[in-house]
Parts: sequence; C-alpha cells; structure tokens
Amino acid sequence: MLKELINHSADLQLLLKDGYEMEIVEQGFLLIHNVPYVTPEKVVRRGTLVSNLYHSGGQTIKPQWHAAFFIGEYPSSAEGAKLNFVVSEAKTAISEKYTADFILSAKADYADHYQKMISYLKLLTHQAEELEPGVTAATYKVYEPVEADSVFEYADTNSTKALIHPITAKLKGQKVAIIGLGGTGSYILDMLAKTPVSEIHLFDGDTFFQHNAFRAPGAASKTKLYERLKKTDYFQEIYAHMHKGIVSHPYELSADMLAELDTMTTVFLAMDPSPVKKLIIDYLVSRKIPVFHTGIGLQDVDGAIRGQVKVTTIVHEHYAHAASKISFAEPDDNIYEQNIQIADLNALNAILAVIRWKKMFGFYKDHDSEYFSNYVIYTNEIHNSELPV
Amino acid sequence: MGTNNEEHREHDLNEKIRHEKEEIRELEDVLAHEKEELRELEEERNEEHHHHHPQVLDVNTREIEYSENEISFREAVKLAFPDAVFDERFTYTVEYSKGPEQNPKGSLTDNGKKVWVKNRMVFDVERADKS
Repeated sequence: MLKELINHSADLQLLLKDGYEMEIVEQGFLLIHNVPYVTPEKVVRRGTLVSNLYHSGGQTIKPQWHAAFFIGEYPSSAEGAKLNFVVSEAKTAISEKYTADFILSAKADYADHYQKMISYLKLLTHQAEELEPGVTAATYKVYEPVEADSVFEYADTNSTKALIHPITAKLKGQKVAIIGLGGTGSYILDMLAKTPVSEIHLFDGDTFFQHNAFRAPGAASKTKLYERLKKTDYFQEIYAHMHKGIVSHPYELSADMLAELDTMTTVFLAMDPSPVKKLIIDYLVSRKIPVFHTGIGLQDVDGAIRGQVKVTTIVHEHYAHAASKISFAEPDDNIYEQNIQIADLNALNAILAVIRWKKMFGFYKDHDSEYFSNYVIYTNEIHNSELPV
Repeated sequence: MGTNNEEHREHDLNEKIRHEKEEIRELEDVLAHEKEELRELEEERNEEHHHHHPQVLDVNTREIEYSENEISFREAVKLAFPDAVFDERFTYTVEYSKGPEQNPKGSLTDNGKKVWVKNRMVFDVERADKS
C-alpha cells in the first residue's frame, strides 16, 4: 500500500529525488528526518519535519491543512531568537515512536506535499545555513517503506487527518461478534467496519430477502436479491471492501455452539427474542465477555408509531437487570409485540450500542456508565438507568 | 414661652398620627375581609374547574385522567395496559418526563419509589412477553 502510494504520487517522488530522508508513519503522516535547524543556543542541530499526509485512492491529494509539526528543540533564528512561524509548543502524538514538539504555521495554499515540505524545510534550514554554509537536509539516504499491518483495505485517513488516531487505536485488536444481522445488527456492522477491531464475526442463519433491504444500510441491487444470499455472506462481501477481518457464520448459534464465542472480546446481541438468547447472555457473563444488547419496542397508536429504543449493557459486574429488561419469547408466541422494524430506529439503536461500547473502551468520555439506556421516540429523550452503585 | 408652643405643636402632631393609624386599621380590616372573600371564591372556582377539568397524564400518547398526587410503577403500567398482569411472563419498561420539580424525568421500576405527578406529565410504557 505504501509503495504503491509513493510510486503513484509525483510530490513524494520529487522529495525522494531531491534526496530528502522521507518516512511515512501511521499511513497518514509524512516525516522528513535530518532537517538542519538552529537551537535557541545558536547551535545547528538536526530535527524532523512532520506533516499530515493527505491521500485517497492510492495517491496523494492536495494538502488539506497548511500547518506542520516539528520534532526537536525550539527552532530559532541564527541569532537564537524566536521565529514567528513556530506557533505552539503543544505536543502532538504522531505514532508510538514519534511525538511532535512544536506546531509550525506558515499560511499558504500549498498545491502538493512537495511544495509544503520544501517551504517549511527552507524556513528552518535558512537559519542553519547562516551559521553553517552548505548545510542541507538532502542526505540521499534510501527509504525502505515498512508496510503497516492494518485491518483496513485502505488507510483510515479520517483518524490521522483529525489527529485522533491514538484514540482510535484503543479499539485495536478486539474480536467482536454480532449475533443477528437484521436491521440493527447490519447497522452495527456498518459502524464497526470503520473501526480497527481485528475481527468481526457475523452470526445469522437467515437469507437476505427484499424486506431486509428496507432496513439495512446501503441500497441492495435487484440482481443481488436474486442471488438469495445468506445475510452474513451478503454483508461480509460488502464490508470486506473496507475491513479485512469480517467472518461470515451463516447459521443460528445454538446452545451447543456457544464455545464459538470464547475468544470474543465483545458481543453485540441484535437477534430476535429467543430462549437461546438467555443462554448466550448467561454464557457470556460467566466468561466475563461484555454484551451490548439492542432492542426496539414499537406500537401503532391511532395510526402513528410510538416506542422505545433500548441498549442493555451486560457485564459480569452488572448483569441481573438483563432478566427484567430483555424479552426472550419467540416472536410468534409474543401476543403483544407486532415486531415493527424501521431502518432509522434500527440505525439509532445500533449507533447508541456502538457509542456505549466505545465508551467502555475509553474512546469517548463517559459520565454515567449506564447499563441500560432507553430512547423514547415520543419525547425525544434518552433515559439512563442501571447506573453502577 | 417658646417651650410651651413647641409642646403644644408636638401634642397636635401625635393626635394626627393616632388618627391616621386608626384610619389605616379600619381599611386593613376591610382589605382582610375582601381577601378572605376572594380566597373563598377562588377555591370554589378551582373545585368547579377540577370537576370539569380533572388532572390528566399523557400515557403512551393518550390522555388519561388521574386524580392522585403520586404514581407507582404498577399503577403507570395499568394506565397504559389495563389488562396488565405482573408475573414471570411479562416485562415492562416505564419512562416518564415533563414531571414536577421533585422528579422531572426518570424511570419507574417495580421495586422502586413512587413519583409525584403533575398535569400532562408524560409516561411511556413498553410491554414485552419474556416467557
């Protein structure tokens, strides 16, 4: 992926041709090492110039932000004075190995990364040249790109662009199961496929029919519906475009198959009410695997719908509420629930569950740590309950 | 002689003050009487109003009369589903909002406290079969 990006990007090619010591990290940052600059003590040293690397579809695009970063001591003038383009001493996490010490800002409409990097490089090196004529950043050291081990088919440039990639990284390595790929389960997948979890296991024995298309993300084509794929195969094929770790299990999880969940770190339970659901919850609680259960209860009242959109979070420290919050009856036996499903509420339910999961793993700030949350459509309010004692 | 004149003037003023105070007391009695009459009339009016406009709660989007000052989980469920039974088979979720300042928004649970009600308070109740 990196080699392809470098080969197809004229600006990166130029930087290499000029002999600059380039490195690309986190698939979203461009570094130039060994850049001569002057310290406040008027000594010439070598630092690293850093910029966000903007790319899409295997080649660089125009830089979206004019600012850059610097790793080293306070870059100064040849006289040891402050330089006006050094605007902040805020530390910025770039990768596990690199943390930027300063933010540099020389506002201009940079056409490409070559123009941007050269501009900053000159600002730093000109000062060094006054003290050491002929000093240069061009070391002609050969750059061997190290391919990052990523779960994505293409880099998560959204995280690096916003500098939240260290926060996104908190979700790395997880093995997540989604049990039930109906409306809510498919939207959960839609959200999880954009996170760096290592594996996403899909469990559902149903076929993807026409009515499912009306409560699933995206727009299924007529020809795709003719194929009568299993839901898990249908969604695996689509989301594999983006995430490499999606595994299809085209069958219902029965009581004797629960060991398949043993290696999971999180389970999203989005299946229809069923007696097996209770067994799954009990099993996961005993294994200390957190469960995020979604459920929608809707009712037609005088020709308009009211209802609740619920997320029940079950962990081994807090699980007794599952019995009173979750329905385990087969839908056919359930005389009161009409089992109305609507795409927007499925999506909301999925998103609320994914947010709750991200809070548990430190991605979002969390005030209540609620184990039950309920969105009431009628009043447009969310009620948190089952708070930790 | 000046001293006698001053004493005389002070005596006159005291008389006038006493008279004014007397007048105020009489007017205050009248005011108190009128206030009492107003209070009685308002009370009568309110009783009349309550008779024709009893307190209503908004339960699952429908208006339901409810005359008590407090409500429990089971009472709220019964307002939503008059045929509700409380046994292993069913589970209910009760959320309320637009309540009085003591409890403006929250959830009711079977073993939890009652909450204060106010006119047009909203209750959202879901019933599910869990057998």
